[in-house]
Amino acid sequence: MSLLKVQELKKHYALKGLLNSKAMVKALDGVSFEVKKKQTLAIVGESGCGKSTLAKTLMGLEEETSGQVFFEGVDSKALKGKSLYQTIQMIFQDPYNSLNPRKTAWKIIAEPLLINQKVSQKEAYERACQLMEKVGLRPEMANRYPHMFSGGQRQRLGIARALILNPKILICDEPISALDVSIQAQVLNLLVELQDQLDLTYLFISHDLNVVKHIADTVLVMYLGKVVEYGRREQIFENPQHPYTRALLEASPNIFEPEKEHNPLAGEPPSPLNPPQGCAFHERCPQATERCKSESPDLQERSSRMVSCFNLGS
Amino acid sequence: MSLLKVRDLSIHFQSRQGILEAVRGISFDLERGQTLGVVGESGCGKSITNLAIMGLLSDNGQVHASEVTFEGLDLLKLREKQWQKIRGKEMAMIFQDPMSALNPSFTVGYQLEETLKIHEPQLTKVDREVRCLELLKQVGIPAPESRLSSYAHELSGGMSQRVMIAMAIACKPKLLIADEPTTALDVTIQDQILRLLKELQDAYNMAMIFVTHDLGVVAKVSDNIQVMYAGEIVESAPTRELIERPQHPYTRGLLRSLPGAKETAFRAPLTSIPGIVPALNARPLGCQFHPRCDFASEKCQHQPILTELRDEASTHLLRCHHPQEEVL
Ligand SMILES: Nc1ncnc2c1ncn2[C@@H]1O[C@H](COP(=O)(O)OP(=O)(O)OP(=O)(O)O)[C@@H](O)[C@H]1O
Ligand SMILES: Nc1ncnc2c1ncn2[C@@H]1O[C@H](COP(=O)(O)OP(=O)(O)OP(=O)(O)O)[C@@H](O)[C@H]1O
Ligand code: SF4
Ligand SMILES: [Mg+2]
Ligand SMILES: [Mg+2]
Repeated sequence: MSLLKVQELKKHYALKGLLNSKAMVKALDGVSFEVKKKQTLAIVGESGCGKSTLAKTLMGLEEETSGQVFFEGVDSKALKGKSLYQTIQMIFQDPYNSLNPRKTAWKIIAEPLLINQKVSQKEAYERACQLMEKVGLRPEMANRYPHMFSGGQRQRLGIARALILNPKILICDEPISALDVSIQAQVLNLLVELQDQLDLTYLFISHDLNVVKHIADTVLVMYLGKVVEYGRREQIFENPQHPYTRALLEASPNIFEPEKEHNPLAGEPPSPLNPPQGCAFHERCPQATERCKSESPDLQERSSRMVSCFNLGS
Repeated sequence: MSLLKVRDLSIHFQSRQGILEAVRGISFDLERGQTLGVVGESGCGKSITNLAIMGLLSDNGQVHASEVTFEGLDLLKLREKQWQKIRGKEMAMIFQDPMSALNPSFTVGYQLEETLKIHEPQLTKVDREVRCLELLKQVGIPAPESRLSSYAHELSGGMSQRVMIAMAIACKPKLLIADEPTTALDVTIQDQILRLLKELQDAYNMAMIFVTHDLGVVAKVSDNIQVMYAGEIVESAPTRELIERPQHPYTRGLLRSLPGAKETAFRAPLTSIPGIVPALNARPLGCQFHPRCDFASEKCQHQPILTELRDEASTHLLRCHHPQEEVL
């Protein structure tokens, strides 16, 4: 059984105001995937494609419009508050603004514990110090405030806080992109170590495909609220099928490889308020045909992965 | 004669903690049509160095240099009046955040036309309008006619960056300084903008200084790369040379810490640089990198000088007492 199973998840935001129109932003429009225990699923795609909305919906911070989420076979609706927090936690992109500046390090880390479990201050303090050590912070720093930590250290605080309730799943929303290059490797290494030690399962949101290739077992490529390709790491990186996945790979700079001859993808992602008819990608797709303008392709299994495109060759 | 020549440029700030030395002893040359990539971590002085070159540094910053010349013209002695003739015409700049660089209360067309009005007074209004349209077309803006009457907030990040580029190249500058021009953009849009800059550069034989913290991007666009650490140049070389034969422990550390090298196995620990960048008010003695460096010795308590490596046909400069020659 999968640790996490997501079925046809939709999150539509109704935009109120203007002329009482029924404008809808389809931030998630039927997303399905599964993740096994101790695995890392990376979620990639351009700004606005719905990555953070997916994270927030799984965390119960946003209510889904439709679809289902199962944690170890249990419908997420049956998991309220405390038990949900003990299943899934999240770390955020921006370690500078996501920590309360008026709380000391150990209080920040221990807060979820103090709110959700009956523990004494002393116990909470000790747990926080243990976790600080685990994420590579000296427990002597327990009484410092966030501004006294560097960016990398603050991200470690965020990780410690997310781990204090012993969750099974950790969502990492762009966890290293706000950090300096020389610090990114430290935090990535830490995430891999913690995963092995604590048997964690990761949903790893990132726009850096080099990072994704380094840590993800499976990759989910999203475009405008939909999954366009979803499969094992090797399949996605070595033999991408969807034209959008290919374009993403071509556009991603890798210092160690000479640039591949290619033409940049034309145009920009369309507005989710006003998505095009047919395949959402057709206006930018070098392979689009007439059919792509009117019909929307389903996600189907092809060449050992799931992909949604009419023109995959044979 | 080099297009741009910079010698011993330093920048000091007056602050409550006393005088901060933000940039120290920067020297380099830039030739026509060439791209210099500048990489370094947040706060290492990339932006202020370029602002100083453009004469745009804020009032509490003091620039000292033995030479900053542009086509032989001494930029250090220019008065604001003279600057206005050069800035936007001979040299132009684009920034990371195009949205905030565009004026929200005027249309794209108006702002573009104003740039032309200042620098090309001989053009008539009709000429200017024609030129504005041409420029928007040139930077790849679809339906340029209708875009002339758009305001900044009506444009996407990629489109605003194109408008900024159109304004910057309006007078075919000889030097374009691009400070993190694609950092706020998606990779496919970044890809488009990098291609566009390359095309414009070829068309105008324009020199570029391209600032970024993304080594992958810098490798793609630059002829030469300069690595900055704590306000100093620590290594500088032609692009392939720098990537294939880096000799400074910091450069090597950065390159090794990047995921994506063929040799790094899936999930294997990446080499990381321990420690953090020194604060400007707590600079170490000697080599600024020595507290984080695996090769530091007694000698490194004394500041190493930026030296040209011997036996090299190319211009590989290095600031280190213990160059690492072993292949990475
Ligand atoms: N509360 C909301 N109300 C209306 N629209 C929203 C809301 N939250 C998100 N959206 C829209 O939903 C879409 C998906 O947003 P989301 O934040 O999930 O994107 P993302 O993939 O995380 O992007 P990024 O890479 O920029 O973080 C966007 O078009 C966004 O504007
Ligand atoms: N007006 C100012 N007063 C005091 N210090 C300043 C001022 N402007 C910049 N600095 C300091 O000078 C140093 C270099 O700043 P700069 O903006 O050039 O960094 P950068 O390399 O461009 O960094 P980033 O990658 O974050 O843009 C920083 O430590 C910064 O805090
Ligand atoms: S000078 Fe010394 S401390 Fe500085 S980088 Fe070289 S070896 Fe390391
Ligand atoms: Mg997001
Ligand atoms: Mg800067």
